[in-house]
Amino acid sequence: MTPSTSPLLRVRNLTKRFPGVLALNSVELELYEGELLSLIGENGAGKSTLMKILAGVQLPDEGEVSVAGNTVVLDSVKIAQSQGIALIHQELNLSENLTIGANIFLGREPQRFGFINKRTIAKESKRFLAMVGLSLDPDTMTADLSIGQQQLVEIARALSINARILIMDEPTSSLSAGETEKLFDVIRELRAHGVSIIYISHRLGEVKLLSDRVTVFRDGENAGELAGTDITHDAMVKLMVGREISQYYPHTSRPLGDVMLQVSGLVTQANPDHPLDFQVRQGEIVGIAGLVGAGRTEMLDALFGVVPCLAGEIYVQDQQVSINTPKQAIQLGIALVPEDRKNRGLILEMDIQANSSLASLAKHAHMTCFRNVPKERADAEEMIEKLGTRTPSVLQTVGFLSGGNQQKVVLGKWLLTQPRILLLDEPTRGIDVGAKQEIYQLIESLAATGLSILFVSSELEEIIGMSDRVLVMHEGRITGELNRAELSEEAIMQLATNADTTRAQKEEMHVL
Amino acid sequence: MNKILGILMLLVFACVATTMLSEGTFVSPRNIQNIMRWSGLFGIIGIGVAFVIITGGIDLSIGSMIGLIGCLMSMALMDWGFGITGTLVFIMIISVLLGLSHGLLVTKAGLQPFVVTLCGLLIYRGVARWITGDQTGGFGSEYNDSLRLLATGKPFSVATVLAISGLGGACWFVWNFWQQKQQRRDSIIGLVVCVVIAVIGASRFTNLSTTTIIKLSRGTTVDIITMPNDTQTINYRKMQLGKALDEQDAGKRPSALLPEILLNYLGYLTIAAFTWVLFLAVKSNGREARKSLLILGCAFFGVLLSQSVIGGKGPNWFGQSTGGQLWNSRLDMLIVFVALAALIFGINQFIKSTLKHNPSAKLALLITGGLAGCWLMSQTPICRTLVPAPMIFLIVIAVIATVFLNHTIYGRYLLALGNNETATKLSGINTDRMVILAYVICGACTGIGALLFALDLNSIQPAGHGNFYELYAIAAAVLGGCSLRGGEGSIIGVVIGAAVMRVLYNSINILKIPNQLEFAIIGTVILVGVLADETLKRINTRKKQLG
Repeated sequence: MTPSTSPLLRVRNLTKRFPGVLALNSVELELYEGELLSLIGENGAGKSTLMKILAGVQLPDEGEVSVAGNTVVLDSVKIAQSQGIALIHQELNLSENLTIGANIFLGREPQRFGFINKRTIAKESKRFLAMVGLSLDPDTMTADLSIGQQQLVEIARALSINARILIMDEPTSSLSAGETEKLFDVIRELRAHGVSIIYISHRLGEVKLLSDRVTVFRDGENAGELAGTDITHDAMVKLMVGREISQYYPHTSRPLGDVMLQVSGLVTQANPDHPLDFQVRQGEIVGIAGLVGAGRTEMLDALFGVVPCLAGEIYVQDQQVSINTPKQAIQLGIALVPEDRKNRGLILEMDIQANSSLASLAKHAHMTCFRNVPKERADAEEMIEKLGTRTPSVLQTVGFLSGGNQQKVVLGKWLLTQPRILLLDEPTRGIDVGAKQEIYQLIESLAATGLSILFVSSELEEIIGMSDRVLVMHEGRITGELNRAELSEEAIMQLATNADTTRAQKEEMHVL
Repeated sequence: MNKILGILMLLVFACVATTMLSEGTFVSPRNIQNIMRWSGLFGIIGIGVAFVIITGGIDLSIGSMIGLIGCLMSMALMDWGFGITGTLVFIMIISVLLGLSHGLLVTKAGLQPFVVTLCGLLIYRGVARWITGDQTGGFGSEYNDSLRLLATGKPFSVATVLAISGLGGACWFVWNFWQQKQQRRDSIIGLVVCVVIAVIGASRFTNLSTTTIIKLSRGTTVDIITMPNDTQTINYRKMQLGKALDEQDAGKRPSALLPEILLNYLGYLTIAAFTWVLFLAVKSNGREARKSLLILGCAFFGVLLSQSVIGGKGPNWFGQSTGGQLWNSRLDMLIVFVALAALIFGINQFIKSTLKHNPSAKLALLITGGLAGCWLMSQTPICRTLVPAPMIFLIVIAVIATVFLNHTIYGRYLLALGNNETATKLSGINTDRMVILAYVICGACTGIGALLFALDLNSIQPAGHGNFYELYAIAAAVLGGCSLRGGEGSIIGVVIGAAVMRVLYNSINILKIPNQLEFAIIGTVILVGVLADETLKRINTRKKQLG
């Protein structure tokens, strides 16, 4: 806490490149003993890459990490742990079929005559459980614990390897309010005992509440630092966004047609308590902003019949419809370009022709069952030309194409079903800048031909650049709607982190 | 494609090696018939299980189902008096229902295919033994001239099958001609070749007298191949080509045989076709083609040399032999094997490198292969060997299955969902229904197979009939290029796979290798085949990544 002492962990000039992406660009980070440092930034700002490097999962390309003044090479999880660095993932990593004690000592079981010494496990586990405020029997099965308790067991496991530096990645994302409160107590307790914590979260309220210091990342670089009373919601948002929107979004104002899709009272498993209402007009591009896990993908899945709608009505061109399977959605003229294109969008082992034609095969079949091969080929070639896919031939295996060209194949597949409503889920994720702009232009020209487009993206810049109107989601509900004139990164981020709309919750946070 | 080519080469190697080492016993009509019958039976159930494997599933219950259906069939026919038609309908309904239940359990109940069909394996065997009280079933001799002909009959000769498939191929190319305008040139060439094949087949077919055909179609085994005797008067070209002659040819005037002589010349089209392939190969990839041709030439001389080395001596791999002879004959065999393997490897490399640089050479290669096969067969007694009915069933089923898998939307859906079920479902395809369909197809094929197995053996032991057949079927499918991970497989590969298994089994018998080794040898061959395939694939991916 006192900057005069030398930092416990120091990251200098760290750079990490992935094919086509500069994930980290000479970032700096300092962490002092007994300090809680929050790390915030938009999705893709480089937070998780840095954490993976610190936990020994990945190696940096340049730069150095020093712990307590000594430079270390963290080339395996074991070595990171021996330096006292432990990472607690967002998704819990406990084996549900083992007891608490077995989980805490997994891989480091104390032995006696070659057998696992259960007595030591029980005794030691109890000690670590007490440190995180759990008074549970170490022989309890992990599956019987609540999520919050499992989170605490994870922390106990980290403590059991004598962690001095605890990295927590969105620890509260699946906890209830009460459990969150308990976790915060434990975190404060640990800090008081001299454990340093790096806390990653999108929930700016929590960050404000807990942090001694906040480091903000943007596009893989240090965007700024806040400490003490300077940590305010507005200051953090400003640092997280705050860049200029480039000119390369081809947005034009188009005349909008009638209402194409109307959703009222839509309830899915992701938003059981907050029905969704919105409408999309013909030729309109509606952006859906929000943080990861805000329920955007689930909403598109529900509209496409992948996950069931539990309640609510969907109208397509004023006709009430029920969508229970993707097949029905396709027949209604809905198409979904999924976020995870390798697993949900494409069959990587097959060629472009087979992939492009898959959703429209039945439409062109002879005698309802024989494939129309010439038509398939012609269609695939037409899409390659229209979308500018770079490939030697239509018979190229899709798995060998680059991300951008793969995405064009997925888009082509859906355009061949002649949709009226296009649902795009992170259509530019993992695509290089050139291909991105081609896809923006394509989206714009499709809207100009009268398609209604729902466009989910975590990149604020592209949402602002592309959308006629933006719906912002937060934890399964639509927290706001912004017209093109009102669009700004700050406005979206406010709604996405839910700073204003739910005052009640905010107050709850202050009480903690 | 490479996989099918590899397994085809293995088949050719096994056939040629066994023929050389067995001094022609292998190609005797009786032996060829035997192989064809069993390949047909196992091919049918292999095709069935291939559909399930393509979806990423597995069917372990095939053997027990064959046992159960065999028992039910004998009871329906002999005890319950269902009549022939009734029994056939009954059997097919049962097998489709069993397949359907597997499919429903896998998709709707969400059970693992392995578990579902493992339980099927146990249940069907148990039920079969219980309903029959472990009594051996059969059909007596009552149906020898009617129902049993389905399995034991030999309706056509190889020549007839050639003629029919040539005609079928010709029709396909005519259809293609109308469908695909840009490939007209290919269609015309294909048409001509298919007509040639049909004519070769037809001419050999007409050599048989009508009475013989009637006799044969009733299932009586008549050995129609007789070698020409010394006093024969005909002495033209055919003799030089080493062709065996029919008794009826004796005393005929040469002019009566004019069509055949013409056909022999037609066979030279093979040489023309091969020249075309060579031209394509050298044009597109000079260096690599020359290299593979060099290997090919060396290997060819190796084979010739090894032939002269072993001379007229018969092989004797494990059997008793007198004095120092044993060692010699083993050495001979080794030489033959190595030389042959090199030759076949050379051919394989040549075809692969040609295809790699010039995909349009595919047609030329297919034509050369087809013509060469027809020519070879029309010059040897194989042409007149009668084809057992199960083989005919297999050919029909394989053609239907190939069309289904490669030319219908459902076939494409099956392959797609085998690779990536989520993406297929998100493309608006009812994947559950497709998986159920695959199990139903498997059930139906198993039903047909069971029917033929039962009729062929005429003695069905509830406890043992069909044991391990599922493993033969799966092995044929895997050998034929199906991936157990799903999404990959071809029907022709499965058929060749089944044939390889039977040829191996047969050569173990013919070459007097102790047949206790049977399983070990077949297992080793499959293992080596799959290993080689996997290794080559890995090398290829690495090459692609580097490049």
